Amino acid sequence: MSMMNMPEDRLLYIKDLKTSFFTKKGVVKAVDGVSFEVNRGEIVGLVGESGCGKSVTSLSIMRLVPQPAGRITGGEMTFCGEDLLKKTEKEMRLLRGNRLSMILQDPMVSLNPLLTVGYQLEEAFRYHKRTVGSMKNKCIELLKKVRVPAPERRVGNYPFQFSGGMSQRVLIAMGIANKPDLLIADEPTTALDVTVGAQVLKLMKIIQEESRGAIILITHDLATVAQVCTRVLVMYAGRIIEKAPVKSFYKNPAHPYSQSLIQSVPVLGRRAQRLFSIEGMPPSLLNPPPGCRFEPRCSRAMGICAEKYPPESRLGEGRQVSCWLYGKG
Amino acid sequence: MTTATDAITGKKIKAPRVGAGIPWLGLACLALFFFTVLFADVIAPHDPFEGDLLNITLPPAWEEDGNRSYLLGTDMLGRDVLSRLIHGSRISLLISVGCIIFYGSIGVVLGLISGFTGGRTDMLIMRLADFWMSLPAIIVLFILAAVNGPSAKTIVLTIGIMGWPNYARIVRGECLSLKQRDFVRLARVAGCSNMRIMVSHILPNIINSIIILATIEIGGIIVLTATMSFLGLGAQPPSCDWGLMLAEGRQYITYAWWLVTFPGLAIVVAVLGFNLTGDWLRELLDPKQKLR
Amino acid sequence: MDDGMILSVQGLKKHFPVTRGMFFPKAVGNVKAVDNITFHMRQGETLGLVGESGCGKSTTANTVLALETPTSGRVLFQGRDISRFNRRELFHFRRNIQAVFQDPFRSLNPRKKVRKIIGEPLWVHKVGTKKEIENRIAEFATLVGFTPRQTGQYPHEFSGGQRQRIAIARALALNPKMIVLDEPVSALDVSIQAQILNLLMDLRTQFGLTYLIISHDLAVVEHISTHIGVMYLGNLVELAHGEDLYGSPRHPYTRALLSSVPVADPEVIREVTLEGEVPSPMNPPAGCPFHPRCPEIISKCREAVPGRKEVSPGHWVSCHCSF
Repeated sequence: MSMMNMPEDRLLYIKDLKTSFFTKKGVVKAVDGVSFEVNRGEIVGLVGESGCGKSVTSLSIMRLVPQPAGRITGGEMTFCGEDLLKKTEKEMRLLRGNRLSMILQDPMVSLNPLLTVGYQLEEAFRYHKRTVGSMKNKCIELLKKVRVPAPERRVGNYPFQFSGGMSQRVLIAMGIANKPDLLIADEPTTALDVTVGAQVLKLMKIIQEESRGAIILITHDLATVAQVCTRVLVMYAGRIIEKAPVKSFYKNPAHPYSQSLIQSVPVLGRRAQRLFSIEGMPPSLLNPPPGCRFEPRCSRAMGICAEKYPPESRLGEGRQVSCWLYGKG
Repeated sequence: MTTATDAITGKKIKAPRVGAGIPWLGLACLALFFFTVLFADVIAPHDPFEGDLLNITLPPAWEEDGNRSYLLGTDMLGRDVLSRLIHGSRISLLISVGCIIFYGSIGVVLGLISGFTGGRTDMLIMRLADFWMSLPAIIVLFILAAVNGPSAKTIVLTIGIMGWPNYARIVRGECLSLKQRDFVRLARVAGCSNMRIMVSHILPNIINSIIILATIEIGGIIVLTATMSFLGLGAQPPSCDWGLMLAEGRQYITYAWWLVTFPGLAIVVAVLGFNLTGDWLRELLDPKQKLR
Repeated sequence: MDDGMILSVQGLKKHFPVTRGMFFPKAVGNVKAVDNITFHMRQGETLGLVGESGCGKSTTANTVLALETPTSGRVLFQGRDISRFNRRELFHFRRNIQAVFQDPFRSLNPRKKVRKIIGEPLWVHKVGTKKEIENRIAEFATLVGFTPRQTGQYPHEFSGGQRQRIAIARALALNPKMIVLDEPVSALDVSIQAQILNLLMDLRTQFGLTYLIISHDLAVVEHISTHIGVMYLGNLVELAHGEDLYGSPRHPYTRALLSSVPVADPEVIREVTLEGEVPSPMNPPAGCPFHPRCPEIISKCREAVPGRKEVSPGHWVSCHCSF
């Protein structure tokens, strides 16, 4: 069950991670100095809009950044105390799908249409040689766990015979097959209907409770985060600009971007005349500005905001924010 | 220039250069080919049709019996091989471009109609294409050669009427996928007629594919026309078509190797140029590169 | 027959036959994409159609836009049945109703400049001289926030939100009475979504437009719509004023749907009340389509499809249990 060391509560530790893409147009600093940690028992929401770097962060953790254009150019990453950057590709493969696992976004394209679902599930076991008892039974057990009805029959079906929600469950099953300590879920409900997505989120919560591991949930949807996560990390233009426990975040978002974001979400039952919207667009990551990256769109920007990047300020109770409004400036 | 280091390997990272990926070899071959086409009259040292009967089957200039003024040697009628090669490029280009335009137009029109209209028309055209592809081109060529007499024009005619199914298929495929696209739906909502949609919306979006397909096919056509001339069904003597040169030089191959080698090389260079450049063009113009 | 309704959909059915066979196709089944829906819209209203995949909302939109012909039933625009139009009438009809579609990256022709995209409807319908058309294009481009210089660029040079603005400008070009918006903001980031929704609402006021908006996002729909219709498996199960639907949802599916919508507030715990998935539209259940998943099922539900009942003024429900 547990690994060779004593169960570490701190599963993932990331400091100043930098990942860039080297293109003909220049260097795109997709992740530009990201630090956070994930402890056992947490569901951490990594939230941000498109292009903010959240997916690249997850790929960096898995060391699956598309090469040769994408490279991790700096920082530290440890997983259960082991340095992820120092691992060889072979060692990473032993980790992936095993103790460190990932679920991708669109189940319709993530499953191989030519192989049965049972075969693809078995692959998760086979590589990591966890065969105690019949593989088929293990697969059926796994499908039961993710609440796929009639698993005995479904294990021999092909992906096209599954609906969107069911395929996502299969992906989840593949992700948790070897009881990972850390599961990264990249937009798991974006491609799904609302009712189905709600079921999937509920399932993920149950899984996390049972496994006592942790989940990093990557999404652009603030509502999903509010429903499922214990902690929130807000990303903007390649950096994390706010970290907070979920309840205090939604009650009192600290960073102007977080505040604007929450205000922009239309809320069922609260009809306003106009929705709050943020003017402008995020900066280009080819040449990010020297100061705070949200400054051009911020209604409370001050002089110093454009000149220097704000350091991370601690706001107590596990809250941190990178903003000169709270700065030790 | 970047000074970044890969955190995993510790090595310095080199950013991709702007000129990387350009097919220099292919472009060079093409440049050479088009240069000879354009300036054949100027650069050919001799008249390709006049032979000097005193200097038949001379080896290339660097060989023992070679003559400086006949760089690549002469053929059995005393004609300068180099000059014939140079003028032959014009013929190759003319024939292959002629073929492509001929069957390309047929293919594009049929493919557009088939893909866009769908239903019975689509089915009919595609079955016709299937049938057409099963006809052996050589037999058709023989028949046409028998009727019209063998000539370069016969080749263009044959390939022209035989070659459209491939084009039609590909154009139809693109059409099918474009038809579903929202901007076509919007065009309908705006009231555009079918004709207008086909010409104004669909066609511009498949031009890329058409061009790329042409660059890919042209290499094959050059080889095909050379083959046909080699078989005696195409260009007739005294034409300096490369295939014909091959046919004429075949019997002398044991002691006049240059009569066959250089035309063969010329074909290789031309085809290589088109193929390599076509490959690169395809990657460059690939619509799957989504630009955000 | 003009009772002030700009759009009247009556008993609309759209079935797609499923065929087998290459040379002589034979129908082996039917996808009942839209199965008998009825609703009416007045000028100035905004009807939001919500539902999950397979519910038929997009097919409904296509039918209203005359991109599909109904299998049965009528679609009346200003009192005239559009499915009976000949080509000329259809062409003239199109001036009144335009559309904005979901994917801003795919709904604009990548090979056309912005001004040609906006101007196309004007050229097709020959609205005015060349100069007049150009002025109109500039006018609408500015209205959605574009500079004249930008109209000479291509779509791929713009972001998702900007492209959606182009699509909106194009939809407005003919000064239509009604615009059908099929998931207009689903592909956009939240902050951009808000910009576009605000723009849509401003334009609605300015031009007195009627919107038919299709979406799976209840919050977005509720925000912009005066009326909301909930669809399930090709049926319109509930139709009401926005506040009524949210305040007192009558149909069990509507209630389940509302309870599944995640809320950006961790204090609100939403109970997931709906299990299972939407059945395939090729094999809809007998009787009420929702009955296999319905928590309030009675025996009648398995046998008969419920008819529409007006449970309060303007509030229609298709359920055997509504009282």
